[in-house]
Amino acid sequence: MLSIKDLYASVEGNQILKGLSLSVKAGEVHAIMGPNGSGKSTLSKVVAGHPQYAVDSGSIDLEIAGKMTSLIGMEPDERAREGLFLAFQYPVEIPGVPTSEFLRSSYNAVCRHHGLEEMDPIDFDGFLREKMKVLEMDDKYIDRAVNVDFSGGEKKRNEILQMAVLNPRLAVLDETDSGLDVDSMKIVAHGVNTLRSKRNAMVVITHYQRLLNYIKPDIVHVLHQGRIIKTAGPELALEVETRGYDWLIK
Amino acid sequence: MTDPKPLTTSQVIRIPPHKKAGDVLRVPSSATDVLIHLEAGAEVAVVLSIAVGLPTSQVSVVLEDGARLELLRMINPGVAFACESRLQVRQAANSSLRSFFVTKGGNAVRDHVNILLEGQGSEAFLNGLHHLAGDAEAESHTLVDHAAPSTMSNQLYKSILRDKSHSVFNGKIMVRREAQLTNSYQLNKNLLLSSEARVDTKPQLEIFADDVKCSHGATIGQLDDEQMFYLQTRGMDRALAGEMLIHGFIEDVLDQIKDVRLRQEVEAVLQGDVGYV
Ligand SMILES: Nc1ncnc2c1ncn2[C@@H]1O[C@H](COP(=O)(O)OP(=O)(O)OP(=O)(O)O)[C@@H](O)[C@H]1O
Ligand SMILES: [Mg+2]
Repeated sequence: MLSIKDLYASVEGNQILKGLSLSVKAGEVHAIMGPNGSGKSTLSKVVAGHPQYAVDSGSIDLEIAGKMTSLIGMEPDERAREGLFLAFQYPVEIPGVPTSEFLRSSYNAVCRHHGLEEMDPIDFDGFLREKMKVLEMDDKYIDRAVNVDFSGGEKKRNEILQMAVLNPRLAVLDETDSGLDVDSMKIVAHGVNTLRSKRNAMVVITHYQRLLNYIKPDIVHVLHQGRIIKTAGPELALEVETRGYDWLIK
Repeated sequence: MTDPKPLTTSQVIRIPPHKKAGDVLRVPSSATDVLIHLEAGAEVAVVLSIAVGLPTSQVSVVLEDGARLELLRMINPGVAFACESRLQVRQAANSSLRSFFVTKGGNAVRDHVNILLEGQGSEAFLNGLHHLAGDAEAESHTLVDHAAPSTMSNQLYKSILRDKSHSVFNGKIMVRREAQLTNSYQLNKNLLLSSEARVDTKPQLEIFADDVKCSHGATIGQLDDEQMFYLQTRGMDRALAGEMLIHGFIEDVLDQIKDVRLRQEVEAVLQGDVGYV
């Protein structure tokens, strides 16, 4: 589904990713942990195609229509329409744009690309309310501007709502659990789990093993100084929780 | 030869006391000299389209006690020449004005708004939108004169500028000595969609009373990269994302139009031929 090989990437002239490789298959959930500043968000931005981040060398391939296809040089919106989704660590506020309109434009952009029928506002409203129920979100959010006057936790929940609307094949969740209270985390995890299937895959970036009690990963990676320094099963997250990163970094 | 039509006409709109006109009144586009007089407690919404062929437009407004006027003045898209317009308002006690000026055409538009708040408790909301492309230029010059206590004014002017267009905002607020407990706000925001577009913005405050709340501000910016990226990661291409962001930028100005029919009219003009992006 996703294959990253020996990736070097920079932002504003600083090389942050230094030889990162990662391979994710359909049906898998990968967790990425790592100290602050190790490059986790950078990885997510590079995969999503942020224009400020430059790929210096290496490759990023995503399976599109059954074929591994390079994402390098592809616009972020093209990647999104091909089934890539990024839940932001810091969701962006868009004043003046109602959440419902934003979600519908997004949904319809993806539908158009795949030759599917677009939804009118009334049908979409019904569709959206179903998704919001799963995430136990109040109706009041859909009339508000995107992420404006949302609490930190509400913004995170809104990211997962967007994911539920778009139903991506590959989702990268960047610290979606940070800022969520225990109950919200369970709700969000439940939302994520309902979207899990054999045909899609997820990369979950987190600092806390707690989230992984609810979203069970198949594989856990530790990222340090722009490279993956350790890959193991779910027990690695527990070990990091008790021992920190020192023993891995040496 | 057909009869020559007079190019310009005068028009008087008079609303009797306490009449709440349900219909939107449309000033014929041939009128260049308009008087709108609302007697005490009257209410009405008026639309005035400044059309091709009329280089000047003069609107005088008198609002008697408690009268309420919502006034939309639009320079029609496609006006491809210089145009000078003027709005002059006198407001008695507790009267309310909501003025909206939008230009999406003309290559040199200059608008003057003069508001005299001479009755206690009167209020004026002044809003403007310059939506310009090519080498179009638009100027808004406002003067709000707070001459009585407990008066309020709120100005919100925004511009969206493409190509080599140029927007000017000169906003003057005057608070006289007797106008205690005045609130006066002014904000001018500009969105530059081209590196060659230009903005000149100048607030002027003259305050002679001491118990007043006044604020003013101006911003000049471009489409935000992080917002653009966020929308793109949701599948929208740059053109669509830009359109959304521009609409978001002017949403609060459009929100100032309380009459839905007026709002629809403005949106129709904004979504016309030129498009958002
Ligand atoms: N725009 C930028 N310009 C310069 N340096 C940057 C920029 N963005 C990120 N960095 C640097 O890149 C490094 C990696 O940042 P990144 O956000 O990827 O870390 P992270 O692993 O997500 O950390 P956290 O756990 O705190 O979210 C940091 O040292 C950061 O300061
Ligand atoms: Mg991060």
